Amino acid sequence: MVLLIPFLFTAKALAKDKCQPDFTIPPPPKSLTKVSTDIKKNPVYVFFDGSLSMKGFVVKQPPQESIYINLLDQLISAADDLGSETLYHKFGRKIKQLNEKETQRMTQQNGYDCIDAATDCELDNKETRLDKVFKAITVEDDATYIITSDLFISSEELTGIRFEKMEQPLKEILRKGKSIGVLGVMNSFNGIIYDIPTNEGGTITYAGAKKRPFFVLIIGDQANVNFIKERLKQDSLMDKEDSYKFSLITSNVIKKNLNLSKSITEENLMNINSGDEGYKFTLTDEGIPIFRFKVSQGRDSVKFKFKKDDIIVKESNSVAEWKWDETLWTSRETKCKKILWRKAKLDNFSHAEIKGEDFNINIFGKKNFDGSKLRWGWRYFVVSNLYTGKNGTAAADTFSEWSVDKADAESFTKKEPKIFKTLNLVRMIKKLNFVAEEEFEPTLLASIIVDFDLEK
Amino acid sequence: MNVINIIRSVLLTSVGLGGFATLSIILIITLFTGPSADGNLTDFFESMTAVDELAELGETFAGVATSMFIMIAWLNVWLLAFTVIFSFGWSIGSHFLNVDAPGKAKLYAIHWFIVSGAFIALVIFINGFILNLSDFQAAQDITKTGTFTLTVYTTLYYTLAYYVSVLLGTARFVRSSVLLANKLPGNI
Repeated sequence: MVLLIPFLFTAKALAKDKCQPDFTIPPPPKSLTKVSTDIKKNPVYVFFDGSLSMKGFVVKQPPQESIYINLLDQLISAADDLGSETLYHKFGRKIKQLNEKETQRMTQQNGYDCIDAATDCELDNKETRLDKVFKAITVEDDATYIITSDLFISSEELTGIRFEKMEQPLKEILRKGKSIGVLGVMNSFNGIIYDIPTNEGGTITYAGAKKRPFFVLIIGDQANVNFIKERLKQDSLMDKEDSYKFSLITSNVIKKNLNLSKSITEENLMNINSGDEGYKFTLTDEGIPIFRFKVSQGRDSVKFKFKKDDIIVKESNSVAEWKWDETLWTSRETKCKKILWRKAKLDNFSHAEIKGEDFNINIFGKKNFDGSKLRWGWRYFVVSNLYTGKNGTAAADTFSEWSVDKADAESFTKKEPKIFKTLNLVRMIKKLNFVAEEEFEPTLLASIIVDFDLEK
Repeated sequence: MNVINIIRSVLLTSVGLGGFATLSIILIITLFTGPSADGNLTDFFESMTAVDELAELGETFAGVATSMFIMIAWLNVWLLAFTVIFSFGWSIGSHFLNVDAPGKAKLYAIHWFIVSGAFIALVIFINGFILNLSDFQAAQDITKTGTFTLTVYTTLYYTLAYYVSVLLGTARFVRSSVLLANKLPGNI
C-alpha cells in the first residue's frame, strides 16, 4: 500500500520556543514522500529486439557460453515474478505481441528468421525502431518496461525528428520520477553485424566478431528496475562481473529524504562530542534534527557524515553539484531570557561532497567562507536545506569502452576486431543523460538545524 | 635629597598631567555613560567598526556600540593609570639619581630612555591586549585599521602626557641633561 502524507507537502513554520527564531522548513519532495509498505504488482511489458543483427547472440559458438540465451530465460522469469501480468513483444520495424511459444523462440535462432520468407517479415527484421518502443512505454504509468537490444543506433536516429520521437516519451517517464536502468552484457556473437556506416556515406556488414555487447533497458520505478537487475545478476551474471556493466539514468538520484526517513541521528555528527556541556539532540515530529551545543572558535565547521549508499541510488549517474538553501540567525545574548535573534545576510556557507563511500556535510565548511567572521560569545542558529544541484554523468563513462563513433566505425571494422563495439553507444547514453538533466529538479535531501554558542 | 623638592616635583607633574588626565577622564566618563548617538565620538568609533561584517551577521553598529564604548573606556582607564604611575614614578625617582661626577647626569639619559621605552611598549601592549586578546567581545568588531588608528592615537596622547608631566616634574639637577640632552635653555 502506498501512503501519501499530504500534510508534509506544505512548508512548515516552526518556532519551538522562544529560544529559537521563527524558521521555515521546505516540504520534502513529492517523489520521496511515498512510503511503501508492500509492493503492488503492476504489468510488465517486455520488448525483444527481433532484428537480424540480434541473431548472432543466440547462435551458439562452443566453447563460448552465450549469456544472452540464459539471461533471456531469467528475464522472462523475473518479469513474471514482478508483474501482475507480463506482456511480451518483438520489435523491428513494427511491434508485434508474442504468445508464449513465440516468446520462447526469441532465445532460439528461428525467432529471428522469417519462416516463409514473407516480404513483411523480411522488411521488419532489418530495422530497429526503438522510437516506436519508447512511444509505447508511456501507455501505462505504473508499468515496468524491459527492452532488449544491441542499441546499434545510427547517427541519423540520434538527431532531428527521429530522436525527438524517442526523446519525448523518455522525458515524460523521467518527469514522472521513473528511472532507466541500462544493463550491458558482453556476449558471444556468431552472426552478422549490419549497417556499419562508412566514411563515404554507405553501410557495410561485418561477420568476424566473436563477441559484442547487448543491452537490457529496464524502465520504471527504481525499486522495480533494481528488482530486475538484481535477479539478472543473481541468476545469469553471477561470477561474470567483467562481462557486464550497469548504469541507472534517472532525473532523481536521491534514494530518500533524510528527514522523512528520520535518518539523521547523533551518530552522524562527527566533530562534536555528545558528552560535552550544553549538548542536546532533538528530532522533531517532522524528522528535523536540531543539534544544540557549545563549540570553540577554533573549530572551522560542523561536520556530518553519512553512508553514500544510503543516500545516492547505487550505480546511478550520481550528483555532480549540491545546492544549499541556508538561513543563519545570530544573537549576541546566549541565554534564552535575553535572546534576540537577528537574521544574518550570510548564506551558502556550507559544503557537501561525496568522498569514497561517505557523504560528508560541513556546515560553515565552504572553502571561501571565512569562519573568523563569526563572533565568539554569540549564539548562532542555522537552518540548512540541502538540495541536489545537478546530476552527474557517470553513466556515459561506464560504457565508453564499448562504444564506437560513426567516424571511427569503418576504420574500426577494417581492423577485423573479434570484440565488436556498439555504434554511438556513448552518444545514446549521453542523450539519455541529457534528457534526464532536462527533467532534473532540485531534490531536497535533508534539512538540518544547528544551534550553538561560539566560545572563545 | 629634599622632601620639599620631591613634593614640588609631584605638584609639577600633577600640573603637567592634569590637562591630559582631565580630557581622558571626560572621555572615559562619556564612554561609560554612552556618548550621543549623533555625536562625533560615535561617528569616529563607527568608522573603526567592521560594520559590513556585522551587517552580514545581522547586527548593526548600534547593537555593538555600548560594549565597544565600554571597552574603549577601560582601555583609557588602564592607559591613564599607567601614565600616572610612570609619570610620578619617574618624577619622584629622578630625585634619587646620584649626580656626583661631571657628565653623570647625561649617563642617566639611558635610564630615562629605558623607562620611557618601557612605558611606550606598555601602552602599545595594553592596546594590543585589549583590542585583540581580551575578553571584550567588542574587540572582534574593530577593523585592523581601527585597531592601528586607536593604538597610534592613544600612544601619541599618553606619551605626550607622560613627557609633559615628567618634563615639569623631573628633579631640576637632571632635567636638562637627562630629558633634553642638555638642550633646554635657561632655568626651566
